[in-house]
Amino acid sequence: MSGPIPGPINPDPTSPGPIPADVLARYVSGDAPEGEAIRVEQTLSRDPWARRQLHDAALPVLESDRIDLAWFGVQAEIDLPRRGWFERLVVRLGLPADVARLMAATPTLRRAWYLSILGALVIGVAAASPDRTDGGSEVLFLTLVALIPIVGVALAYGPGVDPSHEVTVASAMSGLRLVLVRAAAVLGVSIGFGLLGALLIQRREGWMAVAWVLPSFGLSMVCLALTTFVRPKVAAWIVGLTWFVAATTIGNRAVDPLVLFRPWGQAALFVVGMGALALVVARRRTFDEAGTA
Amino acid sequence: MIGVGRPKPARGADGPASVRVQGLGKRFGTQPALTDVSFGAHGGVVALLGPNGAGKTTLLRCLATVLRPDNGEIYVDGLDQRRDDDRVAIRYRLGYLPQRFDAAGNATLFDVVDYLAIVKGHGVAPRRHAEVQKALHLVGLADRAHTKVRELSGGMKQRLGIAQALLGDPGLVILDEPATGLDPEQRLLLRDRLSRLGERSTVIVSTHLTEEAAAFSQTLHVLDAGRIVYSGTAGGLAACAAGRVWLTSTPVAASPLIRASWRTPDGRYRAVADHAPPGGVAATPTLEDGYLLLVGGRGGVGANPWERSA
Repeated sequence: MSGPIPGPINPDPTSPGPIPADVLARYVSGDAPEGEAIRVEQTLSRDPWARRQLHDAALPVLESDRIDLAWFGVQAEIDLPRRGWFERLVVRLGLPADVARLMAATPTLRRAWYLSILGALVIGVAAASPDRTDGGSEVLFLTLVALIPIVGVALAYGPGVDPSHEVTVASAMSGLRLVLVRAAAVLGVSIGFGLLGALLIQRREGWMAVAWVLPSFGLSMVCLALTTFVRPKVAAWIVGLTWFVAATTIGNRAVDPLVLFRPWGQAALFVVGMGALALVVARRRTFDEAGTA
Repeated sequence: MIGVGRPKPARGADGPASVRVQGLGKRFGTQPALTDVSFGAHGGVVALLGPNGAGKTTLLRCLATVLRPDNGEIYVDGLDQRRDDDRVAIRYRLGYLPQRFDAAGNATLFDVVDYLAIVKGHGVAPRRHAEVQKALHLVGLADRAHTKVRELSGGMKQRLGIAQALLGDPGLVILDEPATGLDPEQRLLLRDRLSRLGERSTVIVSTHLTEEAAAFSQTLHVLDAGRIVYSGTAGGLAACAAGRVWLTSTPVAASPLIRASWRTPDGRYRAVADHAPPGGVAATPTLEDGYLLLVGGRGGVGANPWERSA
């Protein structure tokens, strides 16, 4: 380039470098006008102090952050813990890994709950004597199996059951979405256990294997709706106890002990469940707040 | 298929979030927890200092969008916390450590932070995993990523809580008594981290320890009975007690005029009062003296904090 060599871009002798900080920032971000960028580059080409200024002020901050994060990414991928069996199962079923991680963090999906399920199933299967034909033993079995998801769903989210509840509430994810993801996980596991129990009692009526599913769904939704008013454990007690008393009382006194599990009974409980789900959606804001201290 | 998160709203500029609190009020039943609280912050570390029950945790929970205040306004980067969409946008810029942090005992540290990264909307692996590893590194727990939570000491659990609050370099970091359970070396590390963090984020920290507040904050607000009774620097707080701190060689008799008095390690007695007790000699005020002048002696009987809190 011909012509006289332009003077220092920053003639101020008190500045920390030959290039003013604002000019340097524009240059680094690519927003400097052409004339200004040319002057910066000419200064850089002849002044080692200016090159040092550029190096110290801009590039290390940008590059070191990126390099650090890349290194942390490498470390994380090398040392990534092996997913638990539940997560691996969910991923194998086709759900995203993120969803699997959310489901696996459901407080209810722990050894204590699994043992509770097994205990309830043992009682139910033992009570379902093959010699009884009045439906009474099936009522006990169906009542207990339907109870399992109610408890599981109620204890899947909320203060007192989720140790990181307060941090979760303050996060960007919708509380309702998280509740439904966890409820789906609990219901899925419950259905698996329930079907296992149903196969063990081996009745001629094939519908027995799934007669509890719709009532269980409906009552789980009622329990979830109730958690928008009271604490989860209280909701679980109210719904669980009411269901047990109602189902066994009807089972002992009604002409048809299995009326709640016949098609009309199942349909009615399913409709109740859908209504409860609508209430859950309407009151979804409660899942995004922690309530009183 | 159930998605993991909703689409992220457009973020504001990166860098420290600007926070403005105006006339905040909150009650629990008939008991006022916060009354007419107002302050602002933009970058740096702000400390909330106050005795137990002063309202620090309630204020932080309101700032963290966990509690809805009964009146007043909170703005973060111009976003109004009262609006649902703005609350979600604020949460994307937020890192929060509650007063009591815990996690599932059988989960590993990496699992816990990764789970919280998902609910906070920190994108998909492997970038999310990199953020998790970085957060654990910041608190010195990277080499324990595979350790189960139940094997951790109380101090390590606290550091785990701090790690999740630092995920993704949030513009607003809210920490409720972060030094609880930390040993002196870890407290120094925390001070260093907070100081660096304050260069890129707005950090609001609560503590009831005056020396801690002075060590890591540029600005501090003293809360007492739900109100801010002082806002300014640590030096300014100490200066509040100028001319009101006395040393005597004999015990100071309890009196409603004495805000606080105690025996010093060298056998003398120090008192904070408007007027000198008998035989009292003026002493240079400390930060603690200024704090006690503002919040001490509410019980009016020798300023015994256990009597005061009964």
